[in-house]
Amino acid sequence: MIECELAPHLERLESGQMRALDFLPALAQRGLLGVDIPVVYGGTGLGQVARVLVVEELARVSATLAMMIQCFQLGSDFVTRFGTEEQKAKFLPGLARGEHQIAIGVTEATGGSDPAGILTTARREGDSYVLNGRKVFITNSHAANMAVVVARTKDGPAPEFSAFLVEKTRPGFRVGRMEAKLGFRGCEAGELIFQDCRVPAANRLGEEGQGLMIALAEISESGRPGVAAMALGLIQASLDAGRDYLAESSLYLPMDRPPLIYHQLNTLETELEAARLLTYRAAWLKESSRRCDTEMAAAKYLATETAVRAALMVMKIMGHQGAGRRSLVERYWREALLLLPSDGTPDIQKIVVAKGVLAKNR
Amino acid sequence: MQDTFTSFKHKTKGTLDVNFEFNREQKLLCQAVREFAEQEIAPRVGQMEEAREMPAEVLRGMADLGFLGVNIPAEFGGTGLGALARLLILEELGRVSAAVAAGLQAMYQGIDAILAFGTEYQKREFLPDLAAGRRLAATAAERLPFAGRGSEAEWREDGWVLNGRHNLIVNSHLADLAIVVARTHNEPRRQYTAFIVAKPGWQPGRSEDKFGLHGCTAGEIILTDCRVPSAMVLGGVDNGQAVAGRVNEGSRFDSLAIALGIMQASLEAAARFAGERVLYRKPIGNLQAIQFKIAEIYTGLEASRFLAYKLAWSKDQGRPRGQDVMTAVEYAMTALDKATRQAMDIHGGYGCVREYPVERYSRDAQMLALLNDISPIP
Repeated sequence: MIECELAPHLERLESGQMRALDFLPALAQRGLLGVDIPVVYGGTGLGQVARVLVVEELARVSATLAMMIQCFQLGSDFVTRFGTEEQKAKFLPGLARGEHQIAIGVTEATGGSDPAGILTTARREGDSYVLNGRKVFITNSHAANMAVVVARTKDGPAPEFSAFLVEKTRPGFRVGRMEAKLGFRGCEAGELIFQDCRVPAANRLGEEGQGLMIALAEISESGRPGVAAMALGLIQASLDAGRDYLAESSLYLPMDRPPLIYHQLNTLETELEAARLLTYRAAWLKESSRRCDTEMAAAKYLATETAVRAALMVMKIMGHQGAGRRSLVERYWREALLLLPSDGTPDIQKIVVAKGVLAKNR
Repeated sequence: MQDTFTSFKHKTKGTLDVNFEFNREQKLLCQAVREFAEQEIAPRVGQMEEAREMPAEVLRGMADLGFLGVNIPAEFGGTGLGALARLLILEELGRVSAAVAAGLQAMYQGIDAILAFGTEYQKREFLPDLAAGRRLAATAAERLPFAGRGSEAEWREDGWVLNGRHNLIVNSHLADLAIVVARTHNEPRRQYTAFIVAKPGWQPGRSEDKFGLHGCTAGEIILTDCRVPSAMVLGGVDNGQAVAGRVNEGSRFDSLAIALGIMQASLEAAARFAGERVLYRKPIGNLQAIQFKIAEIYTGLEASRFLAYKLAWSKDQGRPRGQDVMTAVEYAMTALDKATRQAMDIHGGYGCVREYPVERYSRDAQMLALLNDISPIP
């Protein structure tokens, strides 16, 4: 379905003539946005494993679209898991239908890996909060019409943070610079700027002071599987490109090729299978409402590292044909690199895993 | 919208019904093996490192618990639990002693051969005893016998006569039965035939002084004018390569299971040490370099684990994936190399002394790879 309907337009996406957002109605209509939004709020409620499969399949054909959609899904999960009944009823149906698009505003220049470095403030004034600050590297910054924003509600040696749902229509909220990235053209990452932006207290997600916990839980258990799923799709795409190339390329007859090349691709298939199993299992744990941050981090780490290696390997196999702009594989490599720092750098993933293991083996 | 998802579900072949949890029987099995390993094997590891043989109590315990018969159908005295059960047993044993697991792995080889290629008579004659541990098997089916090694089988009027020497055969000094794959023709093309040979038809020779997997002996099997009746040909004349292939296939998968066990042990040892060892006034587990190593061990182990579980599960479902086993084994052996190395590094100097288990894990890991000819391609 994805290949038939979207493929003709993907080239326009990659060349900058279309934005990822333009594809949203088609994706939303197929129910792909609301895969893990409960049915009662307009989603299909199929769960995290299904969501991972959707993102994986999409990434195989267009990582840009997959990036956009998995970020929207992360945003809606903030609401599904931590929203009040009113908030869920107000926002989820629109998110499931693709009428609302949501970005996650956590990272700042002063803290991404270290979210306690967040300096954006939310000052309580009666029934509302006033936000001031600047978020950077925010995926879908310009496409979104609302954002989950984590801001400092209490300063001092033990700062506290809270999470808010902020619609773009609110005065004092605007977008800033768009980053020029290695890839994902059409799915932007840019700045969210808050200048005395007033947000009703009813838009706060969770209790005051819970913002960091909410953000970390969501990034860990909903963000990371989305990124891992994208990596899986990229690995499959690289593998397919490699095998297609070997089948078609006429420079060498099959028996002249060093058998090592086929061995490398076979090994890659096994590594893909390993990454898949870890990712699906972590997703299954989340679906079963079990604690899974260790497994999620390990899956994201393995999948993204493998994706970079896979694209590089196929690029090398394809020789100069792999390097040209026309080649899909060089794009897979750039996209895979972008996945490495998403939702936590590889080193952060390793720290999360180690802490989990150490705690278990005390 | 609902229609799209019905077809999507079919496309993914019911993957949405995935389940990553063990069922009750599987959990009980793991628990039983772990208890046996910790109560009966762990206290004897030191003794095994010295004496270099499997204690009789361990062997008897494994037989009594039905480990030997896990692949043998009930009609022949086994429990018929299947590939995943076998994997779990070897993994749990390997966590405490890879040597004991390797000994069990070797017993499975002979059982695999008879199960796959035995006549009704051979199955009825040998399988019940093998399942109960009343008789033990060793298998001489080396992949690439050295020149001058291996054995020849000659047909004389009323039976076969075997002559030769096989080396590095696990359980050579423990077994009563040997499955021997001997050369039957040298010209024009080399052919092999498998035989079931009972003692005293063969004798163990020198026990190899291995550097790892102490606790299982691997030595010579010597055949001197050994007479074997036709009824003891296994799998048909000149079909020895198929028998050897089948044995090695099962054995490779068993190595994968044992590797998981060693990796699990390495992870636990590394984490424990990192929590105890204090440097710079804090446990070294607070240092990121140490954390990174632990994470690498964990990730390699988990990935190998699920590859293995899925393959075993597929086999039990009647959908074996032989080629994938090869690559999974390679993957796991690479992960095993890294895991044992990282664990040793975390222990610093203590990684080289017998007081801590990680040096044994390294030796056992390398010996496992060499014995089974599955070292990863560097």
